[in-house]
Amino acid sequence: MAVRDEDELAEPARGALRAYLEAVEAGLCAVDEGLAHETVAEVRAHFLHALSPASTTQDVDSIAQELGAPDVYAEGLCAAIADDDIEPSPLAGRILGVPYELRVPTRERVALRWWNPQDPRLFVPRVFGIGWGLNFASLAIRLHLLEPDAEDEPFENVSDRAFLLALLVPVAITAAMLGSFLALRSTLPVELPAHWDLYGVADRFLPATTAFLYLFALALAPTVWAVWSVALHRARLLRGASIGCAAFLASVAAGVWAITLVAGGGTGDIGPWAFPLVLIGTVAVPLGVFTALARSGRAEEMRTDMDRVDRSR
Amino acid sequence: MVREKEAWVSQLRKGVVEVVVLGLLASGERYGSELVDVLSSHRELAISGGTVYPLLSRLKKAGLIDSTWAESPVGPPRKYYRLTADGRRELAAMTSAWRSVSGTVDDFLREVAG
Repeated sequence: MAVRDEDELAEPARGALRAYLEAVEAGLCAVDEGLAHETVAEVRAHFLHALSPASTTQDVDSIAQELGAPDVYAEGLCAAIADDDIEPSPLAGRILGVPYELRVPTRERVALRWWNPQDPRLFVPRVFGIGWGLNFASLAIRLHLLEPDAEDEPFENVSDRAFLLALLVPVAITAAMLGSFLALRSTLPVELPAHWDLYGVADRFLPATTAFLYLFALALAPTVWAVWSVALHRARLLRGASIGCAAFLASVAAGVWAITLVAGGGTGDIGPWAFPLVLIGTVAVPLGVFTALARSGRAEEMRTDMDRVDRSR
Repeated sequence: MVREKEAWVSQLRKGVVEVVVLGLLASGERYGSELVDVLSSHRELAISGGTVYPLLSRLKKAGLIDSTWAESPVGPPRKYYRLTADGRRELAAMTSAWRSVSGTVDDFLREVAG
């Protein structure tokens, strides 16, 4: 038994073997080419070892049957290879331990980067760009605001009304920014500080309206996106993430705007308290929004389950 | 070599954690943190809350377990997990596979040690 090369096989058997190997190769996921080639070579060797020049198509088929359908076999190989954490794409990986990701993310991955109760890590690699982002779900779980399994699927049972209420947070922050600008416009100095050095000393100034518009855009764009995704009834995970993300960016913008107003009224410099205070606010506000959404989803899940139990009694 | 051994042990744990969780639920329903407590008390398995919850979610999606919120005798309601009929069948299959594999491996290792 055993042949060295597939050319030693008689024609019908050779054709059957080639067809199987091609199907395996076609089913392989996006592993790097060398690895795919090696894998197919191993499968071929497995066949050649058991075949002889006199082997028939039936012999090939019976070995193929042991291995399973080529697409299922390929899927299994993919899973085994993926477990080894082989990173095939040069568009994603680590530089000096800092993760980077330059592949275009799916909407769901973007959403889960903000809120993923299944991931215990507090800081998760960004879905696009370099570095880490905060996983608000992990923070909420660590602060005992929520159980890891509070919801089966994030925000899946959150009602439309709860989404609307949560949406009010970024909308209100954005509106408050606009309101404060319109109310104070006539009393604002010509220029406002737009950048501070590490010691809180203003080192760049912008015309007041320009300074406001930069910050306002930072709050408005994600808020419009959140309103949009709620209005269009997008998938619940996406709705929740867009609202939380808008609450985060609107808080950042409003926090910096508040510092700008306080500092602009004086010398332009800010005290050491300013940035830590803004940082706390920009974590606390979205954390509150995300947690409230998840809790309302949990309450809905509980109600459904317990009603069912009551009815069955 | 040390790294390889560690990687092997962690692969081994990864492979058995599913059957361990299903096996634990075979004796009756349990809630999430109870599962975590029982599993993490067996240090050799090195299972933590961070591993248990994603696993529970995966098993639920696969239809092997089911979960329901229920009143708890103390404190707020809890989410209880239990095996489904599919889960029971899967557990039986996994158990017999485990017995045959571990039995064979033990035979080999006895010869090595002997």
